[in-house]
Amino acid sequence: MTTPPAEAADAHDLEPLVSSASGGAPGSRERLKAVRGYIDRTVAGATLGQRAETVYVFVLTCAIFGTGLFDAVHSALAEVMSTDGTATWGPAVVLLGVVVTARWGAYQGPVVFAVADVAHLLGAPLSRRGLAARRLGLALAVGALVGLALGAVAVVGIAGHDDGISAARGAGLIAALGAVGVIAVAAAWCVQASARVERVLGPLTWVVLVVGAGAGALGRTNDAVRDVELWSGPWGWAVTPVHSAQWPIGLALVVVTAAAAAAAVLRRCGNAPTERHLRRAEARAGAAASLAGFDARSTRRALRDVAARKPPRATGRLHFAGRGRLELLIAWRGATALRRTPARAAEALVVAGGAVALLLTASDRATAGLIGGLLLYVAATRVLEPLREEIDMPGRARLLMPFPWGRILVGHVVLPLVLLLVAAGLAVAICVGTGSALPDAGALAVVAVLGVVPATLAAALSARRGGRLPVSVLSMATGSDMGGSGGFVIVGWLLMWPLVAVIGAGAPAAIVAGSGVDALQPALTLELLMSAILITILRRSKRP
Amino acid sequence: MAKVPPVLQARTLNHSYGRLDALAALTLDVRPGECVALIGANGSGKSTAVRVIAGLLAPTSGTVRIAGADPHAEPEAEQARAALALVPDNPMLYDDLTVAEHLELVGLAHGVADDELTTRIPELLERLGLGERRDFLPRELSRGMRQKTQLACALIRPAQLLVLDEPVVGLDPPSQELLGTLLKEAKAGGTAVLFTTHQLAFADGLADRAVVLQDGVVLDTGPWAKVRERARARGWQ
Repeated sequence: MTTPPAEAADAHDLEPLVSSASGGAPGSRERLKAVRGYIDRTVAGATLGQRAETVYVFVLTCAIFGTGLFDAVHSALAEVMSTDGTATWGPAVVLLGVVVTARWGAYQGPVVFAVADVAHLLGAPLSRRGLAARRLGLALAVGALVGLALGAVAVVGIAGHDDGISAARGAGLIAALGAVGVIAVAAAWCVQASARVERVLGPLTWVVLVVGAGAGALGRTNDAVRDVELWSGPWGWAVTPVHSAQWPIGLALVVVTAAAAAAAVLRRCGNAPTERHLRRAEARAGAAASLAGFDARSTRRALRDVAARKPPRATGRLHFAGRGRLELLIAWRGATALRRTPARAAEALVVAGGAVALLLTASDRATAGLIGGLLLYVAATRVLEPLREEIDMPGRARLLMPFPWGRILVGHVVLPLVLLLVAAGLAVAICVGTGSALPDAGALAVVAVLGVVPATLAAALSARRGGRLPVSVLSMATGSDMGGSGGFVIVGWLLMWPLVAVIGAGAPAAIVAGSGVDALQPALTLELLMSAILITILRRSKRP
Repeated sequence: MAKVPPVLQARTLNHSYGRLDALAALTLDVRPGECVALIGANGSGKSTAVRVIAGLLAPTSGTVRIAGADPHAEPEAEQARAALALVPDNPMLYDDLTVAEHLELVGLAHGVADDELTTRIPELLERLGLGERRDFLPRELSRGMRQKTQLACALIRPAQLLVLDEPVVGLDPPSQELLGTLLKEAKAGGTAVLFTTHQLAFADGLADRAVVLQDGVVLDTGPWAKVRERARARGWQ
């Protein structure tokens, strides 16, 4: 190893090289205070007047719309909420809310710095805890406020039901959900700060969904199961004010848990690795830039890249036998991609199976038809990722697959269609086999399974748009002749293809469930006609 | 002469991105007043090494000590951050702070006295050719100017180790020459310097030693002149 220049080595020991940072220099806390003071002086925040205006607008809006909104929420929620139903499904819903909030920590989380903060503040000898604690404290407070607001909405709904809820129990429910908000944000921080916790959370989400649904279903008829749900943890304790006589104990438990969780995360909030802060900061910058360009796809990709993922599976090469056939070539390409992300295929199969089961067992209600159609659309989007990749870089396909664009897009629909049809077939077999399908099960099964086709084509046509709000839609929405209805243009653009899926997949099932086997012919005609129109549109697509 | 303890001590550093081993068993010491060049082609692991050393990326295994402190373990990392100044390959600047305000902020964060900042900031900005742009925001600057602002942030504060990732990228030849001069001055002042580059000419007359990386593995190491000779023999000019 080379000896450094002697004169430099002699002249310096390991003391800091600039005198102002050595003896008598301010400590970490003083430096942090100085930095905060500097930022407050230099970067203009909202003035007192601007803040007062925000409060004024909020109060005014509540005064104008508050009463009407309250009545609407009161009556709408009273239709679906009751003390009994809340006690049965409440713990599962609260737990799901906590898990979903915790997953937010895998993509962003409660403490996100700017990229420059990572370089200049996290890279400085300042207390990490001091830098993170204020942001985390604010996030915990926001979590509590959101919990309180959701609690208030729940109380409004339950109060409208015949059973009602006493004022004390209502206040207890609101406070308990506020505490759950704190716990959820604390959980999100734990996920943000630790790759290990993040890896555990991924599969846990599915376990929570299954256990929650199972416990809820069993709890409808079994009081013991419901009691176990209510006392199984903070998610159950938070719901005790609705049903249990010992609700003050449940409330006390959830509040103490929230306080302990908040104290624990605030104490250790300086320990998150810089790497995790940097990745989130870069993702936030990328997502903000994409959002400014109304590009939802790029926003999602920017955030998705943050989450710690397992390396792609080292799969063996998939044999391709269909030499020369474009559709088979693309199906092979899609199958290769899906083998590397089997969770995506599994999610699509489960969601599609659930959608068809819903259509078979409950499509006599319009809402079930609507949700069933939407779920089929969602299932298709999960397995259309290779098509989205194609849209992301049309130039790549131009080089690698010099074929008509429409044929390439249709080719990308083949494999998703086969997968979803298999899932639909399995769901039909289970529902018919267990006798849980509605009357005229045969006719219903035919339209439910065939509904997969228009739903998948609608999802492909939506993916074809590329996730970016077109300038034409944007300029139409912001045009002076829209008279304030520009928002509807954008919402209409966003909802167009999901609505097509509902009409093509959910409506035929609802028609057959409502009118019996006589309605099979018009329902099938609707599905086939829509499928033909959609595939024609897809096939005639021009390369962007 | 007693051997001076190294400011940077890296021992068998490894880092993997999934299946890719980006850095394998890198061991490196840099002493006060010494300049070490990390050389390698694109994807050789130079930036990963710098990020691991600077505490931006946790090593899969191995240890780093900067002025005796681990940059990956709080709260002792605070001591390491006080000793290390990093110039990343991409400038990381605030959109809403001017060039001079960046230097003031960094100075305050590192405990530089106000009166020293008052005199040092104009001097440094003039030296880097940023004097007339002291009140410009980053978006009003060219890539090279932003890179120089980032360099100024590293030089305005006390540091025992200066780490620069691809410092010449985006700089015109006069600015590259100025950078070389500044680094030689820092070296002469006793600061340890570690930089990455794939432009061997920049390291001539500046680097005392070099480490050549290929696919994350140390391919060659030793005094600069000898490493340079061997690199030339391998066809790398």
